[in-house]
Amino acid sequence: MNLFASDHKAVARRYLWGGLGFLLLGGLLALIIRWQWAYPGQPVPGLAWAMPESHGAMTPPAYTAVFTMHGLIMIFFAVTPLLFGALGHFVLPLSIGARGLAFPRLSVLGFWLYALGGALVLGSFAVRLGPASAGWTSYPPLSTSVFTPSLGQTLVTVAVLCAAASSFLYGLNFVVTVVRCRAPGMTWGRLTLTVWGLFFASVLNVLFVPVLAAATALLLMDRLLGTQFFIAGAAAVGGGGDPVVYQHLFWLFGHPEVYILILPAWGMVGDFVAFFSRKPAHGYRLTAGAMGVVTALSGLVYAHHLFTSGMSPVLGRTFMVLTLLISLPAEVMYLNWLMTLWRGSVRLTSPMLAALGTMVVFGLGGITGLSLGAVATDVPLHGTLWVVGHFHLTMGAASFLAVFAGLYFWFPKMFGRALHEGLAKAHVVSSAVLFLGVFGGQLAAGYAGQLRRLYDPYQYTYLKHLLPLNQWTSACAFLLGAAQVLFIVNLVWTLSRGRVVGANPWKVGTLEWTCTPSPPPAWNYDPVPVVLRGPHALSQPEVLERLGRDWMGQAESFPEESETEPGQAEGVGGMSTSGGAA
Amino acid sequence: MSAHRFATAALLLSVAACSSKPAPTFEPLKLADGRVIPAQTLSRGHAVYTHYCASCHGEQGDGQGPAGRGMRPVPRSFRQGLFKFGGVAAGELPTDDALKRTLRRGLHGTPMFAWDVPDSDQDAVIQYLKTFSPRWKDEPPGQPLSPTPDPWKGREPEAVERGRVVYHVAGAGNAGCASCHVAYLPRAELAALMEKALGRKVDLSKVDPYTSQPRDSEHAVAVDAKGEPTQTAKVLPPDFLFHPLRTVWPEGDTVEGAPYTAERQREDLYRVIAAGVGGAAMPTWKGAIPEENLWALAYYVQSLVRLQDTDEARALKERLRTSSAVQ
Repeated sequence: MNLFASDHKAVARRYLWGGLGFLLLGGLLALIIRWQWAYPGQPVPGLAWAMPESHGAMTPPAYTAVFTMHGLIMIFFAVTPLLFGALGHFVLPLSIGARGLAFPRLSVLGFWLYALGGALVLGSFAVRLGPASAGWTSYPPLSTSVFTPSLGQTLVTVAVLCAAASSFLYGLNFVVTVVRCRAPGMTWGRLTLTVWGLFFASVLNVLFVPVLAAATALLLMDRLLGTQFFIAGAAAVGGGGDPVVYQHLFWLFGHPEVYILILPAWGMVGDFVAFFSRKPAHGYRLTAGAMGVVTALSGLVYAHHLFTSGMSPVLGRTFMVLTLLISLPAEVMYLNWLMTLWRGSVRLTSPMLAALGTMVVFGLGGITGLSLGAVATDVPLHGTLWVVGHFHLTMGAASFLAVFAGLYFWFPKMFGRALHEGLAKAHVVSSAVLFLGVFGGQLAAGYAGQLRRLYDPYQYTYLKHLLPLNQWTSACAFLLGAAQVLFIVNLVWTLSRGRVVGANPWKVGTLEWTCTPSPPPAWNYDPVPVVLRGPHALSQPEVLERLGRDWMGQAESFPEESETEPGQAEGVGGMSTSGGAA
Repeated sequence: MSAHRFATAALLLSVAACSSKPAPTFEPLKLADGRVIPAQTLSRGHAVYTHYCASCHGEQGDGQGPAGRGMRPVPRSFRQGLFKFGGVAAGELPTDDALKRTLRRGLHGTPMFAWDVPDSDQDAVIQYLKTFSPRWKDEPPGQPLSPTPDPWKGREPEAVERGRVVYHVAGAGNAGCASCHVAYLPRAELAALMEKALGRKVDLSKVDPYTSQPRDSEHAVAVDAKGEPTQTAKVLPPDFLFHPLRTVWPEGDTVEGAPYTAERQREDLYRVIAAGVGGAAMPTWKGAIPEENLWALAYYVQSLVRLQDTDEARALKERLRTSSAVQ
C-alpha cells in the first residue's frame, strides 16, 4: 500500500482507520472519566500498570489529563477526521462527478499533518508529568507552563496546530473542488445535501480554523519563547497579555466548529431521509438555504460561550439574540426532514436508523441549548454538567451517529462489501438509546448543580446525593462502550468475508451509486457523467411507469420508448420533462 | 510532498516542542539525621510537587506561586524551613509525620486542601520539600511532642474549669493565653478569677483584654529574586469563638476518612498548644506548664470552639463588649 497515494479514496481510507482508532482511544478515556464519577478514587480495572503509585486509581492530575485528552482527541482527531477526512474525502468528489479532488497532493499533505499530530498526541502519554491537562480548550493561565509544565501539554498543543493545518487544507480543497470540479450538468441545485453540508462546513473551516491556529501558535510562543500574549493577566499585574483574549479567539473558532461538525451531519440526514423514505427531499432549496444561513450566522454567535467571563452585558444581549436566531434555520431543516418522512415509504435500514437517531439526539441537544443561549439561564447553568450533556448530545452523539450513518451507507461503495445489516442496526439503535441515557443523565446532574470537571463531586455535601444518578449514567456509558463491539465485529467480519454487493445496493440515484462500480476505479468515472437531474429522483409516477423502479440515476436518461420516435426529450432540467409523450 | 521533506518538517516541529522545560536531575539528598533520600524519590517528589503544590507554593518553594497571590494567609515559603504545625518545639524542623498530617488533612479554613494523593507520592513530595531549605542538611528534625495520656478523662467539667484559669491567668503554672488571644470573661469575673488564682488583687483598669493584638511572624509575604524574605507580616492570634483553627475541624466532620470525634479534636488542640506555632509568636508550652494544665487548656479551648456559630457565643461576646465599655 502506497502511504503517499493521492487518490481521494485512498486518503479517505487512511483517515477512516486513523479516525476510528482515535475514536476508540477517546471512548476509552471517556469510560475512565465515568468510572471516576461512579467510583471516585477506586482503582480503575486494568490500569494498575499505568499508575503504579495509586494502584490504578485516578489521581487529580491523571483525571484532568484524561478529560482533557478525551475532549481533544474526540474533536480534533476522531470526529472531525471521520466526517471530513474519511466521509468527506470519499464522498465529495464522487457525489459531484469529479475525477478527484482539486489538489490531490494537498490532501496527502493534510493527512500526514494529521498523522503527525496524532503521533504527538500518542507520544504525549509517554512523557514525564503526563499529557495535556488544561482542558480541551487550553485556556490560559491553566495552559501556561506554570500550571501545566509538562512537555505533554506542549506536544499536544503542537498536535492541535497540526490538526488545524490539516483541517484548513482539506477545507480549502473541498471548497475549490465543489466550485470548480463539478461534472457537466451538476448545477448548484443538483448537489446532494451532503455535499451542501460539506461545502458550507468547509467554508467555515477555511474562515475560522486559522483563528484557532493563530491562538494556538501564540499560546505555544507563550509556553516556549517567553512571550506574554495571554499569560500575565492585564488586570492582575498591570502589564502583559490577557487570558480572556484567548477565550475570544478560541470560541471564534470553537463555536463555528460545532457547525463544522454538524453541517455535514445535517446534509447526510437530509439525503438519507429522502433516500429511505423513497421521496424527494421536501424543500430541498430551503434546506440548503437554511444551512447557508446557519453558516453565515455561526461566526456571529460565538460569544455566548463568554457570557460568564465578565463580558459587557450589552454585548451579551446582542450575542444572545444572534444565538437564539440561529435556531430558526435549524427548525426549517427539521420541518423539511419531517415533511420528507411524512407518508414516505420508510425503509428502516441501518443508515436510516442512524440518521433518525441523529435527528433525535440533535433535536434534544438543540432544545437544551436554548437555555445556554439566553444569558439569564446560562449564568447558573454554565459551569455545570448541563453544558456537558447539551454539547455531547449535539456534537458527540449527533456527529457520532451521523458518522456511522455515512459509514454504513457508503461502506459498500468504499470496499465493495456491505456491512451486516442486523449487527449494524443493533449497533445504531443501542448506541442512540444509550447516548440518551448517558447525556440525559449528565443533563439531570447538571440541572441538579453538579459542576463540570470535578475530580470527586461528592466532596461537596450538596452533590453527595447525585452518586446513584452518576452511577446509572456510568452504567449506560459502559454499555455504550460495549455496544461498539458490535461495530468492530461487523467491520472485521465484513472486510474478510462480507457480502459482495453490486454498484447500487441502496437503489438510489446519485452519481456514485449509478455511474461507477463498487469500489470505484482510480479515476472515479469513465467517462465523466453528464448530470440531468437532482439527487432525489425517487418515486416519480413517470419513472415507475417507464422503468419499473422507483428511482432514477442523476445522469440517467429515459430509454427511447421506441425506435421510431428518436426526437424524445433528454429530460435535462429534472423530472419535469414531458417524457416520451410525443 | 516527498517523504524526506515531510520527515524534516516533522522533526523540526518535534524539536520545537521538546525545547520546553527540561526535567531536572537530582543528586541524592543527605539529611542531617543520617538518612539519604535517593534521587529517584526526589524526582518523583518534584513531579508530585509540580502537579499539586507549585501553583501556590511556587516552583522555587518560596510561596510565590501565581495562584498564591492575594491569598491570606499567604502560602508557606519552604525556603526558611519554618513550619507552623511541625509537631516539635516551635522553631525546630518538623517531623515527617507532622508534614504528612498537614498534607493529608490540609489546613482548615485555608486553600491548603486535604490532598488525597497516593501514599508513596506523599512520602516523595515530603522529601522533595527538604531540597528547598539548607537547614535540612545541617539540622536534624526536633523530637516529636506526641500527646501524653489525657489526665482528665471522664472529668470534663473539672478540666474546663482548670483550663479557664490556665487560659486567663499568667504565672504560677498558668499560661496566660489571654494576653495575646482575647479573654472570655467579663471584667469582674476575670478580676475575681485572677485574685483567686494568684492570691492578690490585679488592676485591670488599664488593660484591654478583649482586643487581640497582631503579633510578629517570621513568615515571608514577599521575597526577593533569590527567595529570601523581604517582608514579613504580623498575624492576629485567633479568636476561638470566630476563627476557624487551621488544624482543628468541627466535630462530626470526616477527617482522613474517619469521623472527627471530640477526643481527636482535643488531641489536635493539645498538639498545637504543646508544640506552639513555628515562626509565629505562639511559643512551645510543653515543659513550660504542667502537663495536666496543657490538657486542661485543650479542654477549655475546645469548649470555646464548640460555641462557634451559636447564640450562646453571640451572647457571650455581647457581655464581653458591654463589660469592656463600662470602664
